[in-house]
Amino acid sequence: MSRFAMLALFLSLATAGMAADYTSASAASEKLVAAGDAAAAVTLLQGALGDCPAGDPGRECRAQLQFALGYARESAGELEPAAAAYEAVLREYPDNAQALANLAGVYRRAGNAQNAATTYERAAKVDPAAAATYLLAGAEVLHQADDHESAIKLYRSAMRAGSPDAAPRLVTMMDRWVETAADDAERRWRLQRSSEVADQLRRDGTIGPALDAYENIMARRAAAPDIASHALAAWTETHANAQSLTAGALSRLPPVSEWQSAFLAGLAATVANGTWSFDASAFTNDLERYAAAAAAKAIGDQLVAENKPKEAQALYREALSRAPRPDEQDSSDELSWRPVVYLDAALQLARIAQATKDDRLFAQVEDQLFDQKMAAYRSKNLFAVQRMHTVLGTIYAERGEWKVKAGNPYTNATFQLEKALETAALRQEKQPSLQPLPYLRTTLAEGYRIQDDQAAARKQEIAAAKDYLDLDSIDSAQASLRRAAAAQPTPEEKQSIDALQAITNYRSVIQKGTSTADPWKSPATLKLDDDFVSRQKFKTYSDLGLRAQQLGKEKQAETYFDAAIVAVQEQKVVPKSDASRIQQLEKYTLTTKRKTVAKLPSLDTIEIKPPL
Amino acid sequence: MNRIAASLAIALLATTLPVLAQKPTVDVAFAIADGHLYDKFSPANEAAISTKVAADVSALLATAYPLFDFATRPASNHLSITLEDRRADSGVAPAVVLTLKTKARVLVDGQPFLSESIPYQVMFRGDEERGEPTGGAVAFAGEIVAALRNSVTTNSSGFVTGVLAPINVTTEVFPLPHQRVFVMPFTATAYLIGRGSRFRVTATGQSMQAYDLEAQAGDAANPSDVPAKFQRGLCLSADRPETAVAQLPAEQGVRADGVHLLKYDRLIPDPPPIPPSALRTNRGGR
Repeated sequence: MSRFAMLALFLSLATAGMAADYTSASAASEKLVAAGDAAAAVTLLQGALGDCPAGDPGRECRAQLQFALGYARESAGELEPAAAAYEAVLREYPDNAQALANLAGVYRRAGNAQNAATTYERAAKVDPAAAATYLLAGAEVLHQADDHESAIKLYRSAMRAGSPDAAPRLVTMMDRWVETAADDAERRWRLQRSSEVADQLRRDGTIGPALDAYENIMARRAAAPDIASHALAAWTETHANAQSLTAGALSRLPPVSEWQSAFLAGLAATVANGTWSFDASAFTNDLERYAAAAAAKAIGDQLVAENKPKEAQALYREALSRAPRPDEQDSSDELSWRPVVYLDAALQLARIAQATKDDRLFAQVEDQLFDQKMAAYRSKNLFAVQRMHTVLGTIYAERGEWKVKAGNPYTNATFQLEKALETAALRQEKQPSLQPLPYLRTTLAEGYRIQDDQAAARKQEIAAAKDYLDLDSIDSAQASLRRAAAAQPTPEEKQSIDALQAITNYRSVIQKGTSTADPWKSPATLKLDDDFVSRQKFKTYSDLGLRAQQLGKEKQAETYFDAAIVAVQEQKVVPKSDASRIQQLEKYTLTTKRKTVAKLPSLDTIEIKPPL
Repeated sequence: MNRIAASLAIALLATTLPVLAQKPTVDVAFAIADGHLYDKFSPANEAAISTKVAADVSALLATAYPLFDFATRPASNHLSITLEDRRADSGVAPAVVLTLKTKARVLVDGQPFLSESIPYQVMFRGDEERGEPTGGAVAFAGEIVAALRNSVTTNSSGFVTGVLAPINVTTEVFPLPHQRVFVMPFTATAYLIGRGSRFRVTATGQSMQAYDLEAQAGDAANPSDVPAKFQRGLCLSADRPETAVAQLPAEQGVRADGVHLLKYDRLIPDPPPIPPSALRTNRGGR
């Protein structure tokens, strides 16, 4: 439709006394812009704006027309009047995400990166559903304006909001930043920042971009050999623990002939030959020592897959002797959060000893692990104590050693796993936290059944079902309850099983999306502790609220979300598995302006420590 | 698709020319390893799982890597996905993995050759989750696709190196040997190729010497330097290995035999303005 036809249509509607309302004017203006006639759109909208009622009744009219005016002005390249129009929308609706996003775009086009980024951040706050897009756009603006430090922060916010592109773009930006350094001193400083960013990505579990960042640093090793060496060790550890340390991965590193690095030479030979080839005397720090041990363990795993247990055993032995001991690792900021290679290697050696019936090897591993357990007790490190009991219990369980043997009460799975659970309870008492340990409990229950202790097995299965429900593993919870119910429970246990079964059934139905009815209106007689019930209520109501929202039942969704907020406020500890539910509630409270928002637990303070 | 995403897509379409005459097509197939713990579905359900996984993974990869076409119909490149036990865990309860293998059609000395990738593994279920119920066919297929989506999201570089790198993107390349540059027959915006992207270029000199180079995505070609077809085309600047780049002859006569994606940095276009018809003053505004 031509400009004149559009205007004629609009005017004819107006003169005919028909509803040539603001929405028609806005739609007509959009068509004019699409037809390339932004100027006509501006004229049309300016005329229509005068017809908006004054005061509150005209609010919607003014906002719609000002927004359309901003769009038309922006399309015509008139950035200042466009910004003024979008600001006019924001005077009517200060939290309108679309006006904020378009205003940010105008600032971006005008070269005002700071204002653009701040405005995109505001848009992200008021529209969490589109936050990832807005935050990434803000980061890109800052990136293009060479405001790297601010861009790092915004890329990280975009990552947290779920943007899959944010981390790779952050890595690209850091590399370009290093590339454009004016001199060696500046390049070195930028490489140091890149290294910090890479380490943070690794720590967050954003493995692919972290590896890219380390590779970029190594490619620019001439400016900072020490930083490149750190990148190599961190790259090795990352690949090793991700089970992806292969010749193909190594081909992405500088060739050994071009980089005189003892660590790289050792790594390349270990991967190529499947034998320990590092020069341990050349390790310059704990990370290199740890990375070499992790590499040995990873290559050992590959050799097991190739049915070469003897060669694997040699590498696991090296890993066990070279890896930092668990207590050493715990006390190092750089290593404490990484997998404990020492224990992984010990576990693999124990498995090989079992498969090859090598009792001498098993005794050696056992001795080393008991020594480490004693060290953990001596240092009163309860986390390490729990971990050592768990590893020993797992090893004995895999060997089927459940009963006291040769008068030694410690060398069996029952003792070790019971101690692991006792220590977990002690830790929980000292510092309120939630540690669902269903796998340990079901393993221990299996051991009790082998020893024909049905009462102890039932107790663990019931506890495991609760843990599974805390972890949202509904099917596994059902399986544990079935096993408990089949083992002649006491009347009191039967009540607990029935109550848990009822919760499991509700949650299963909700998960399958077949009902939005409130299950807690007719609760079973609950023989369960209050905090557990609050956690389950929170999960149930959050999920029901989301389901109702998806089905367009807004009123019902509101009721459920409000109930979820009440339930979460009753909880002592919110488990990590509920992070996405908390985010969902935050979004709900923001969009509905519920006053309860301040009472929601912060995602930064919820329990996130893994059980092991 | 929401309005913002729709607007973005329209804006992108307007800037996506020129494009490759034919993108490399990869067919995707899925199977559960014979005799596996999960090889228990009826033939009809197994077929439904395979179809759904292949279709959903094709859609997922097409969005993640716009330089390639992914399809469920037969094509010249193949991506097979097999659900199996991780062999490294033999002897204990093994973790369940998805093993991806690529067979790519490439030219070696002018002859077609099927290049096979090293298996690339994606964790599906750890040993602890191995025994958990699979659920119905649709739910199980969804879990498989979710594991692959997670892998693509968290380790895109590994996926590119392990799965996509063997596939030849094009042999239609215009070399500018004096600049150590190879010009592609498409723009950076056509397939959202950011400047952090890297490619492997295999080339042959006039004396039939072979070159295996790494090149970084850069600016568009200068129109005066290249034929019309390559104008605004993405330039790949060869920079590694330094010795091979130095040996690349500066005169004409260099021919590109293949271009392979080594690292993908997605180009993020500026978000287009949201049109008035998408304005919602009753959401997040009152």
